[in-house]
Amino acid sequence: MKKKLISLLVVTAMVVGCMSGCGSENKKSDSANGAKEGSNEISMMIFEDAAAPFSEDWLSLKMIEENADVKLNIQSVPVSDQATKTQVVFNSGEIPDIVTKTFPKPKDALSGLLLPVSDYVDKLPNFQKYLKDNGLEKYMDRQRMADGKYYMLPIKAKTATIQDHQWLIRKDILEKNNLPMPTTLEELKDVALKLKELYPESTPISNRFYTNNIMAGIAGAYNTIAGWTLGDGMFYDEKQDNWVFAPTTDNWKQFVTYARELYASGALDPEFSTQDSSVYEQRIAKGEIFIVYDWATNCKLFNQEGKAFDENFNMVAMAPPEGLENEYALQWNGPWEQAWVLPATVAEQDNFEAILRMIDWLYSDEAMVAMTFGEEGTTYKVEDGKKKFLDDTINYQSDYGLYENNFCVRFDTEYYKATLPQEVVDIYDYCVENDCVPPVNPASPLTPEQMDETSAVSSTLVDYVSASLEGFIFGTMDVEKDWDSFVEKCENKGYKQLEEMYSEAWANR
Amino acid sequence: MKKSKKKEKKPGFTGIKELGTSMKKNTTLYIFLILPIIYFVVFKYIPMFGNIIAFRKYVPGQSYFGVSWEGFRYFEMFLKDEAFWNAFKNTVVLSGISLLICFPIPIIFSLLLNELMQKKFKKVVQSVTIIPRFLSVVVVVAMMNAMLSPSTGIVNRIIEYFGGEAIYFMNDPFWFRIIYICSELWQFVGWNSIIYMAVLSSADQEQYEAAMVDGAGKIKQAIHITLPIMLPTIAINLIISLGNILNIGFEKVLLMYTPTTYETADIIQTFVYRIGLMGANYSYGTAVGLFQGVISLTLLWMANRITNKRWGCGLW
Repeated sequence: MKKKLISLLVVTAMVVGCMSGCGSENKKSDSANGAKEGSNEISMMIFEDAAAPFSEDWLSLKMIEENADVKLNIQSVPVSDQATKTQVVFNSGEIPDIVTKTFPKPKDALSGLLLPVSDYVDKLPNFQKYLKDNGLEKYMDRQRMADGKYYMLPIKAKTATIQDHQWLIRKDILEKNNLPMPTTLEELKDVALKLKELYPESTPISNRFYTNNIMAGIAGAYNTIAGWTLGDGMFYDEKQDNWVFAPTTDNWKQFVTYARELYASGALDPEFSTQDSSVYEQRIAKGEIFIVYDWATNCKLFNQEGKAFDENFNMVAMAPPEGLENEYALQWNGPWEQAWVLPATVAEQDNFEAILRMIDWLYSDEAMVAMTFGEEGTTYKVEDGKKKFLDDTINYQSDYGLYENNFCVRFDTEYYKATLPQEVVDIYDYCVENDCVPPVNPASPLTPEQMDETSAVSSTLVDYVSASLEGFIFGTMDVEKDWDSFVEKCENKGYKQLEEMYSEAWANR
Repeated sequence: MKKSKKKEKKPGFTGIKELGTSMKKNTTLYIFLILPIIYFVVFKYIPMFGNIIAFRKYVPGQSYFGVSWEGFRYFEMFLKDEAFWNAFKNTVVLSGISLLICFPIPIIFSLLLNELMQKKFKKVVQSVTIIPRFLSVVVVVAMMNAMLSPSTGIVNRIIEYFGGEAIYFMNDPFWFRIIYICSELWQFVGWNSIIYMAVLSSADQEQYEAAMVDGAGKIKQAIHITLPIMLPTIAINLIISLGNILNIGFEKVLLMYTPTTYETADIIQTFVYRIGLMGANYSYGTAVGLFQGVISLTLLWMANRITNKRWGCGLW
């Protein structure tokens, strides 16, 4: 009797366990199915950062719902799953009304999956005003695809281009050793080498997010692309108004030569390409790393942690070092970093009016302040004409959903003045004045058929280029001797066809 | 495959009627089978239809079975790509070395363990060696990264203490295979030896006593008595491993490799992952995967035939 009871319990537990898996799946697919909702209900798929987990109580959500008179059904997915989840959702055909943090891929857009936003711009007066007032219409035009339409809404859209990823340096160590602040890449290397002499146990320049991160920054100083910014390898040369395959250009060779020198001389941390994020932070605090390429706002974090080890610890953002003339070591960026895409089917739905209304409100100046700063009196106050958050210790992003990458459609640049050390704000202003941030490529001019043809080719090319970049840097390939065979291999893999196709498509636009 | 196995095991099986009576007699056993069969059908057999996109162009958002016939275009593309052949070579080499090294060691380990007289020590050794198998591969690779780091890792500290130079293990194509095999051994020797221990513990003691009387030493005993007892188990394990030769530990390689180590670390599955999935070239990736599947199947079939003919104990 006892045995039967126990086995019955175990079986029930297993069955219930299996069923619970089924249950939550159904709930998710319901909220993602926009067609069944009322006419002012909007379904969204967002990708939450671990730093700011989504909460239904967010102030930002309430403000959107009140001001635009809509009801939001949010499905939240961890951002680490974003690439695979968006593919799955697009392939399944059941796409929520809005998908955040997603830039439209030409394949998806031109196959009719996504909504051509440019067709409905006349219903979004605030959006048009935002583009016009800030001279960004030309920029938006660069997002037009092969059919002349654009398929995304710019999110975290600012009035000017800001690059959050900057070079940070230990100002106190420089002052202590009477070293000048480097302004060019050569000076950067010299300073790093001097620091290595003074502190032999250190690795002066380091990086997290692996090769792709720091190389994208350095490549910017040579007017080229690498790492994060490499994409399919094609780079739009503004001066010549044509597209080139970046890795086989002279500029790239110069970039790789510099990167190799940086590594071989000992200035760059030998583990820059595999370093773990938390180990990296610890080493910065302990004073084993002096110069990094990271989010500019992190200097506050590093200063807090470093004070425990060195009371003079002072990490500041430095002006981006220059490489070639007027080219600075920064990744490209646009006036916006995020994008929303909508499925084409949304135009037929009952809630389309509500969606447009919500989007339009979000592009107004009033929404810009609300989504960045919140409510006056509740989350921020105005002091001497400057907006300031009420409480410095509260994380407004995770508690109230403010200035958040999923919902903050227009981002108020006054945020920087309110939260960052003056030096960082100065660097941002410096970048805007001197046009330091390289511009992003325009959208690819290829048609979906051409894209299909070139897709496998460019994937294998990019794969080979990434491996070769590391080869050149680590010395297994010699920049002088092996350059010609590198170019030849790229040719064998078909980069010339890629260039021809792009040139043709660009000319025929 | 499961169904046919059941049929063949009953000698003189002649058709549906017998199946019916068998089902009535062993109802509970057949009910047990339902869930695994559903699992196999849903997750293994139905997705096979997706292989059609290796021959048809797949466009995201449209039909799962592709939109137009492309014939062997994707096969031609990857067969010409040297990166693919590099991945293929690495897969074969890594599996080959893995088989050569990781296959015999659990056998030897179980033989050695079997000789131990102190039962308690034996049990402790077994438990300790089995535990690493339960660690997630992510944890194991993180541990490797931490221990082998040139600046903060303990292995390099020891090397430097003895006057050597720190080696950047995880980023060196030469060390990749060695580290991969060593960590595989550490993690799985204990677990893999369980099945051999089970066979050995049921071995007939009389034969050993008779051999000792005849003056056979330990090694002769092992070769002439123990190994023949273990042979069927070894043969089956060998066939399964051969079938998996092209399927080698994808997750581990994916976590361990870096662009610098592609020349020895890139295997077919990681190649498909990068080019096929991350590059969104689904048809291309499927073509490569199909190629791998066909070769694995052929190897498995050949291995089974050989063991059947030579030793009379194949998988089917």
